[in-house]
Amino acid sequence: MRLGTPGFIGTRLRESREAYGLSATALAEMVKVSKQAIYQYEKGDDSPGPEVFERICLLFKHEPHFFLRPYPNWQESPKFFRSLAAATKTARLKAEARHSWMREVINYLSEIVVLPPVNLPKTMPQVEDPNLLSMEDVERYAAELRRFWNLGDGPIPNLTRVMEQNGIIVLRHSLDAETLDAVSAWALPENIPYVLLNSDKECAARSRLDLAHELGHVCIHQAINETTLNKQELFALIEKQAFRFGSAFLLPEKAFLEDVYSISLDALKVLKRKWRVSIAMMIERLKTLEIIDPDQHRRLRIAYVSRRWTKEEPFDRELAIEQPALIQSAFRTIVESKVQRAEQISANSGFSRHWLESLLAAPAEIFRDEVKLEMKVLPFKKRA
Amino acid sequence: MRQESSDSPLMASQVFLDHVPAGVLAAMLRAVLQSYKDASSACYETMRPRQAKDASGPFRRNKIESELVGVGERFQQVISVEDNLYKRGTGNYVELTCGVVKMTESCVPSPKDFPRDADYRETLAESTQLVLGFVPAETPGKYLYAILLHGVDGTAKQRSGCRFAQVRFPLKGFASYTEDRVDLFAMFPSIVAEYSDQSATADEVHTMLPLRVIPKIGEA
Repeated sequence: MRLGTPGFIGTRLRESREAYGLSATALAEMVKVSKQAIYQYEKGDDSPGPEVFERICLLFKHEPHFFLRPYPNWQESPKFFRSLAAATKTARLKAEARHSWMREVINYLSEIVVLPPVNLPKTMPQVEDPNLLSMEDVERYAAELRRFWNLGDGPIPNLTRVMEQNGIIVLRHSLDAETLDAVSAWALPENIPYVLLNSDKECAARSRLDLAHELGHVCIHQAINETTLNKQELFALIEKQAFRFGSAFLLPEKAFLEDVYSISLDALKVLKRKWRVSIAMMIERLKTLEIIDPDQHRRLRIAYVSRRWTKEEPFDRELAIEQPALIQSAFRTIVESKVQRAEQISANSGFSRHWLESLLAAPAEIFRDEVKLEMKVLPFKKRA
Repeated sequence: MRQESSDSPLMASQVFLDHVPAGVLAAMLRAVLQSYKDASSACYETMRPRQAKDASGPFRRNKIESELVGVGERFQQVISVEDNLYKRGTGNYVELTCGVVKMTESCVPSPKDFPRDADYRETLAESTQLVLGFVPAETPGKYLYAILLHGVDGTAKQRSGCRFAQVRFPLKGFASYTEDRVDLFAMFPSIVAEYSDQSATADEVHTMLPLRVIPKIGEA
């Protein structure tokens, strides 16, 4: 009689496979079973034997107990993907799976530490139809959020930190997909917004726009449902609105225009260091605000391309990429206040050290420090 | 080099400020200060010091003129810009028109000095109406000619700093200036500070607020 793995949760296997962007055939080959067997495991009709189970755990870098934990039946708002049209379904599934894991661990951590409460103005729109939001409305909401968060009109030195302090969970993680920039959603029913940024994009200025764009979805698209999001023309409008929100939030009209002293690439280059946004974005903002006409816009774009800035702009390597700190801080607080050890967090949350470090940027030294601590616990005496 | 005259026929600066918005002047100051920096880095990063020093003047002048065209585009509702050829076709100069004001720029050793002779400057100075009781609205076709004077700060590294930026008004005949002037350094000290203080662009440190552990039931 073949031994299975009692309590094996098939959905966890499917999600792991999707998190790695693997097809059932590819996974079957890697763990040396048939494709049909994989489908049966995933549907819960069968479970892997000890050897296959071990191979599955090694492959996905999960501890065995991960696959035995009940799969949470959570609700979520529709997910907003900031992606190129070329983004494949596989890339999206990969991002969704990792987003879901992120939520699972954070949910666990939030039972131990007090995370900052979500702090957004109650006046943000609750429209189900994006057509009801004009671009002027979007600009107004961006300005209102700045006021609400007491940010003034100037550049925001660290947008990630501002969002985290106002209760929005931000994480940077490699999605292994060039076509996908970010994904965001509201976790329900606890009503916490999550933003997952693709850390494969190594450009601070562009990453800040991605983040501000997702902030736009979080703020003005809370009531948009899946059906609306799946309509192509409405999706395009939703994306435009999020872009407009992000631009207005990072570059408020009055303060930004006071700094634009000349319509030239060199003048915008100077402003990039101050405002920490890409030159390309500033060009678009000037067009949106009707400071430049289509001819001037075209001229600037031609000059921009001829300077080969489409691939890399000046200061792209100098501006530091904003790193989230909230969840790292939560880990430290739990371990340093001796509520739980890092290994315990791993065991209780169901996620291996590998995933805690890579998905949530759990500080690696916490695990290392524990190893040192354990060494100290066993003092050896010299022989007499 | 001619020196300024001490007579003061009228307050040209008042007419100037009535027609040129402060935002435009702030933009012109930024364009000048940034061009000093850009010219310095462009020349000193690619040439030996002596050649860089020689080249930085013409480079800076053209950079400023180029940015002034950009200033004109930025404020196209209130300014018009002309890129004019010298009379003999040996070069270009940029002329900004803002209401009744026509303006060019020049680099000089000090704000009391005059730029070198140029036909266009003398022609522009001739067309001005700097007499007592000058009323722009009643003198169509006539302009107030202003020059944006700026000069190198000899103490700045690699000629990257500007020591002054003032708008002055040459009198007819281009032999003297009116006594009044518009000092852009005095008008916009924060912009000047921004360009002289390199630390202004340094990264701000943002630390995470401390989190607290939820007390277990009975612990609180």
